[in-house]
Amino acid sequence: MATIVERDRQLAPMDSWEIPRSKPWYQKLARLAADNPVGAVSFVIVVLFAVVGVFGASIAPYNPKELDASSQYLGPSSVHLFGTDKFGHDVFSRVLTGAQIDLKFGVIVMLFGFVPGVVLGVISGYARGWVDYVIQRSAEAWTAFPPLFLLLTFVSAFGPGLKTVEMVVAIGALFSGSRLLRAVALIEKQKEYVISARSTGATETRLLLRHVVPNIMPFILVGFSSVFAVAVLLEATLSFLGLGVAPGTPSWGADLAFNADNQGTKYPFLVLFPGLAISLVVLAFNLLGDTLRDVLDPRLRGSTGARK
Amino acid sequence: MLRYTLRRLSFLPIILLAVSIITFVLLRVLPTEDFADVIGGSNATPEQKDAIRDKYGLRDPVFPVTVSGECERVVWYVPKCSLDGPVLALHPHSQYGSWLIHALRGDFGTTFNNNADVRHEFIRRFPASFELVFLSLGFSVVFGISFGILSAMYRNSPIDYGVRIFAVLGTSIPEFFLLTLLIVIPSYLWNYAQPSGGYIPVYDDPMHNLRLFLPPALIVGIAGSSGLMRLVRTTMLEVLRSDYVRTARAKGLRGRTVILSHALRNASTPILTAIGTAFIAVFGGSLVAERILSIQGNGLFFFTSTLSRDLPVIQFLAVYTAAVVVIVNLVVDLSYAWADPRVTYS
Amino acid sequence: MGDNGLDLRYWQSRHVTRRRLLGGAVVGGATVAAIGLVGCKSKKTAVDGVTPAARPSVAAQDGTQDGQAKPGGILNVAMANPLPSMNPFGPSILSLYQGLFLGFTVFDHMWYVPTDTGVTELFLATKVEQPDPLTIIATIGDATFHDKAPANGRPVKASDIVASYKLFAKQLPIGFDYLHDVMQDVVAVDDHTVKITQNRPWAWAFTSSNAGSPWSSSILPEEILDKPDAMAKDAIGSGQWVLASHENGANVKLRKFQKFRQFAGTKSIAGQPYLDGIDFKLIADGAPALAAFKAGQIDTYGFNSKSESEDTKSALGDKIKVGSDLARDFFCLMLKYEPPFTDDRVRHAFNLLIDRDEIIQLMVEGSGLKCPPLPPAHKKYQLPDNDPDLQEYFRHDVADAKKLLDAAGFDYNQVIEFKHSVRSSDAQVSQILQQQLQRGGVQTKLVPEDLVKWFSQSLGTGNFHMTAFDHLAYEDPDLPLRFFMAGGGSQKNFMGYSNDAVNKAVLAAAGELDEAARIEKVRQAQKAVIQNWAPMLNLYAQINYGGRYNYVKGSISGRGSYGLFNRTTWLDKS
Repeated sequence: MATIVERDRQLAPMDSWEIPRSKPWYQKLARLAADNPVGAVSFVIVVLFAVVGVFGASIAPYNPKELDASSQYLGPSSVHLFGTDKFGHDVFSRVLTGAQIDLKFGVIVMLFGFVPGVVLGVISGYARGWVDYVIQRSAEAWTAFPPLFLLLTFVSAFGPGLKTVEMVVAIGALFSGSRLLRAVALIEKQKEYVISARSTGATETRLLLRHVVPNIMPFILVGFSSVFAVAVLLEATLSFLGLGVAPGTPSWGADLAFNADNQGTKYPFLVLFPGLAISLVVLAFNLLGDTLRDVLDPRLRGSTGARK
Repeated sequence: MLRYTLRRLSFLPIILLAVSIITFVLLRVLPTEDFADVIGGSNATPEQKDAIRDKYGLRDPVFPVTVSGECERVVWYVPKCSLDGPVLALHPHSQYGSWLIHALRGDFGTTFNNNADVRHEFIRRFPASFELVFLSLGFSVVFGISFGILSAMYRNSPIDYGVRIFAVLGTSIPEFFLLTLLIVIPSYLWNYAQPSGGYIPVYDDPMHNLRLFLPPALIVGIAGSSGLMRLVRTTMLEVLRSDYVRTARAKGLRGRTVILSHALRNASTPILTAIGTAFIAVFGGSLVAERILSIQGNGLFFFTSTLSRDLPVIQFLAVYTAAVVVIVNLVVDLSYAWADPRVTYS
Repeated sequence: MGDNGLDLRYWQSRHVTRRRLLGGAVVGGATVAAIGLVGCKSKKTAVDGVTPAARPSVAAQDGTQDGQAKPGGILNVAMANPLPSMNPFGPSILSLYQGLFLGFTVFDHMWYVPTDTGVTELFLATKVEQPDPLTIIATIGDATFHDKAPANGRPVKASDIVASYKLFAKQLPIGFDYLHDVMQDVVAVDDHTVKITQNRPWAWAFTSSNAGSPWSSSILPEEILDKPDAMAKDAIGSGQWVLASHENGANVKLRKFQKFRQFAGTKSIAGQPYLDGIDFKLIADGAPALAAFKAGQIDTYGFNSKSESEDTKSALGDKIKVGSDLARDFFCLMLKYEPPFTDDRVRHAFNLLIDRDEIIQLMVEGSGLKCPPLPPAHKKYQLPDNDPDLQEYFRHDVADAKKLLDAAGFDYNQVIEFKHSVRSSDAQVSQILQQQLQRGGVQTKLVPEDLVKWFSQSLGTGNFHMTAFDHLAYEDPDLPLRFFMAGGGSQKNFMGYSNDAVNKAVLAAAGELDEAARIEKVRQAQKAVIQNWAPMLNLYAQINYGGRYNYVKGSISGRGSYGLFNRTTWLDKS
C-alpha cells in the first residue's frame, strides 16, 4: 500500500530534532487543544457536565418535579425546550437536574473505588509477591464477569437502590484502577529515572512520591475518564431497569424508561432527549480519555516518539 | 498442549465451587431481611414462618461447617461470636450441602416461584439466549474485524475516521437507549411492532424468528464490536509496518493476500483476546436486550429471578455464567496456539 | 381490565400496570365482559367541588345481545404472569392470583353477585332459603366434577362444598373475616343441602367479599383437599372449563367441560359455555401484548389508556370494537392513625390539599371519576352529587388546608415517610400526591418497597405513616367500607383507627337485610366516614378501555367480573 511506505520516508530524520524549549503552560494547552480538537471539545463538555451537575438544579427553568396537568405531552417549543412528559414535567429541567445524580454517582465511585484502586495498584505493582498475586487474581476474576450480571447478583442480595449500585460499580472501579496502575507501576519501576534516583540514595517512599507519581498521573487521568464513563453508563442502565434511583427522581436512565412506557411510541422526543444526554456525556468522557492517551502514549505518535 | 488444556480445565470445578459458595453467602447469609418475614408478613406466627422456611428449604443452616456459639451481626457483617466449647460445628443437613449434592447429580432444585425444575426452565430458555448471543457475536466479529482492517488499510482517510467515530459511539451510546429506540421509532413511523408470542425456532418460522432476533443482535453486536474494531486497527497498523510484511510486499504479493494471510495471522493473539472480551460483553448486553424486547431467554430469567429473590435460579445462573466465562477464556487461550504457531503450551 | 390483583411473586416495577397483574383470565374475560359500545361522556371539570354527573352510562349487556350463539372455536387471550400454582387456597394470601383465575374458570360456586344488579345469581344452588336472618339453607342441583383423578367425574356433593369452605378459612389467616367472624358454621345436611349459620345478620353474605367470592367459594372435590402437592399441580373442579394443559402455570389452555351442569337458578344456560376452549398466551409486557392484539394473535385486549384505545381503533378500524367500563378498583391515600394524623383537622387539611381532578388528568388523561368513600362502581349505593358532605370531600382548597394545619399546630418542619409499592401506578400516584401536599407546605419522603414486602410488612402490619395504593376491584360495597371499621371482631384495620360512629354506621348497614333501607344506611355510613375524616382518603377510579375483534360475540359488560366466567362468549368467524 503506497501510503504506508511513503509514511516511512516521511518520518522526521534524526538531525531535525529540536531541543524542546519551555513554553508557558497556557500556550502548551492551546497547542494541545488545537492539535486535538476532538479532545478539546470533549473536555469542554465534561466541564459543562460538571457545572450542570453542581448547579443544574438552580439553572433549570422549571421545577423538575412540579406537576402540570395542563401541559402533558407537549412537544419541544420555546416554552418547554425539550417538551413535557406525562406529569407535565419540563424535560429540559429534568435533564439538567438528572446530571446531578450522575455526577454525584460518578464522584462517589471515583472517590471510594477508583482512587483506592489506584493506590492498591501502585502498591501491588511495587510490592509484587503474594499481595500482588491476590489482588491481581481478584481483579481478573471480577472483571471477567459481565458487569450487569454482577450488579444483578448484588441487587438480589442487598436489594435495589442507588447504594447497592454504587457499591458494585465502586468495586469494579477499584479493580480496574488497580490493574491499570499496576501495569503502569511495573513499567515505571524499571525506568531509567527510577534506577538513577535510587542510586542517589533516595528512599522508596520518596521515590514513589517525588518521581513515580507525577509520571503516572497521565495514566490516572486516562483511567479516570474511562472509568467515569463506565460508571455513568452503569448508573443509567440500572436506573433504566428500575433498580437504581428512587422513582420520581430525575435521572436520565429512569426518565428514559418511564417515558418509553408512557406514550414513548407516540412522542419519541421524550425518549430521545434523556438518551442523548447520556450518550453525549459518556461520549465526551470516552473521547477525552482517548485524546489523553493519544497525547501521552509514545507508541502511537510514531516510532521515534518525536512530536510533529 | 493436551496437558495444558487439562490443567486449565481442572481449575474449572474449583472456580465453580468458589462462585457457588460466594453466591450462597451473598444470597442467604448476608441479607438482613428474613425471607420468611417478607413472604409471611411480620404478623405470621412462628409456625407459619417455619412452614414457609420448610417449603423453601431455608430451615437448615446455610453451610455444613459453622462457627458455634452465639453470633450476632455487627457492623459490616463482621460477626461477633462468643466461643465456648468446640469452635466449629458440623451439620449433616445444610442448605449448601444439599444444594451441592443435588447439583453434582445435575439437579438444581425447583424455582421458588412456580415450583418448576430449574434445569428444565434453563433448557427451555436456552435456545433463545443462544441464538441472540450467537447472532450478536457474529455481528460483532464480522463488523469488528472487517471495519478494523479497513480502518488500518486506509489510515487517516475518511473511512478511518468514520470507523473510529463509529467505534467510540458504540461504547458510549447505551445499549438500552438504542434498543428502546428500536421499539419506539418503528412504532412511531410505521406502526411496526416486533413479533410476539414467544420463541419460535428459526427452522419453524424463519421470518418470525429473524424479525425478532436480527435487530437486537445487530445493536448488541455493534455495541460489543467497538473494542474489537479499535484493537484490530491498532494491531493491524503495527503489523503492517513490520518487516515481514514489507518483505512480503517486496516479493510482490498483492495487498489483500498480505493482509489476510500474513498480517492477520500474526495479529491474532490480541484479536482473539478481544473476541473473548466481546463475547462476554455480548453475553451481558443480551440481558438488556431480552429485558426490553421480552425475549424469554436466560438473561430475562436471571433478571426476573433477581427481583423476586428466586434463590435457586440465581445460584444456578451464577454458576452457569462463571462456567461460561472460564470456558471462553480457556478457548481463547487455546486458540492462540492454533492461530500462531510460535505459541506453544508445554 | 381494571380488575386488579396483587402480583405477589413478580414485581416488574415498570412494566406491570394494574391491568397486567391478574393475568389473562381477568384481562381477557373482563375485556370481553366490558365491551359494550359505550360512549363515554367527556369529563367535565369540577366547579366548586361539584362532581359532574359524567359516569359512563352502560347499558349492561348480558351476553344475549348478539343473537343465536354458534358453538365452537377457541378464544385467544393474553396472560401477563404464569400462575404460581394450581392450588386456589394456599398458602395464605399468595394464592390470590390463581385463586381468582381458577375461580372464574375451573371451579364452580353456589352463587355469584354481579356488581351492578346486586342480585344474587344462583349457580350450583337451585334454591336458597333464609328461614331466619341467621340461617341460610341452600339446595344444590346435580353437577359432576371433571373427569380427572381422584374425582373421576363423580357427582358434586354438599360435603365437598363444606370441606372447601373450611379449608379456605383455615388457609387464610387474614382477611375474609366473614368466614371467621360472622359465619358460625357450615354443614352438609345431606348430599344436596348446605346449611350456613351466622353469628349475626349479614346483608353481604352472598357477595364476592364473603361466601360468594370466586376465590373462597370454589368447590373442590373432598379427596384432594388434604393433598396440597396434588392441588398445586392440577386444578380439578366442576366449573365450565377444564384445565387441559399448562406449562408451569404459563400458557394455560382451558377446554369446555362437556358435562357442565345445564341449569342455573332462574334462567337456562343450556349449551354454555359455547366456546370449545380458551387459550392463554403468556405475554409479559404491554407493548408485545398490544402488538399481538393488533396482529390478531389474541382476540381481546385491555388498553392501558384511552389514547391507546383510540390509536388502536384508528389503526384497525372496523375490525375491532372498543368499549369502556368503570373500574371497580380505586386509588387511596392511607394515613396511619398516629400523630400528626390523630387530629381531625390535619386529615381534613390533607384531603383539601389533594386535587383529585389533577390526579385524574395526569394519570388517565381525564378518563376517571373521583372516588367517594364507596367507589363509584357501586352505583346503587352512591351518595347524590349534591350531598354536602360529598362535596366537602371532593373540595380542593390549599388556602383552607393551610389554615387548618396552622390551627392544628402542624409542624411543617417534619418530613413524613410515605411508603408505596414499586408498581408503576402506585409509584406514580404517590409522586403526584407528594407534589400536591408540598403545595401546602407538607414535606414527605417517598419510600418505594418491593411489592411483597410492602403488602405483607408495611400495609399488612400497619407499619407505615402514609401509603398510597390501588385497591383491588371489590365486587360489592362491603369491603371498601370495612376498611374504615375496627373492632366488633371485624376486618383488621390497617390504619389503627377506630371511631364509634363509623363502626356503628358500617355495621348497621351490613346488618340491614332490606335493600332499600340498606342503601340508605350505606349512604349514612359514607357520610359518617367523611364527617369524621377517617384516615383513608379515596382518590379516583378510572375508566378502563378494552378492545375485541368483531367476531367475538356474546360479551357481558357492566356486570363487573361476571363476564370472567366467559360462558356466553362465542365466535363468529364466518
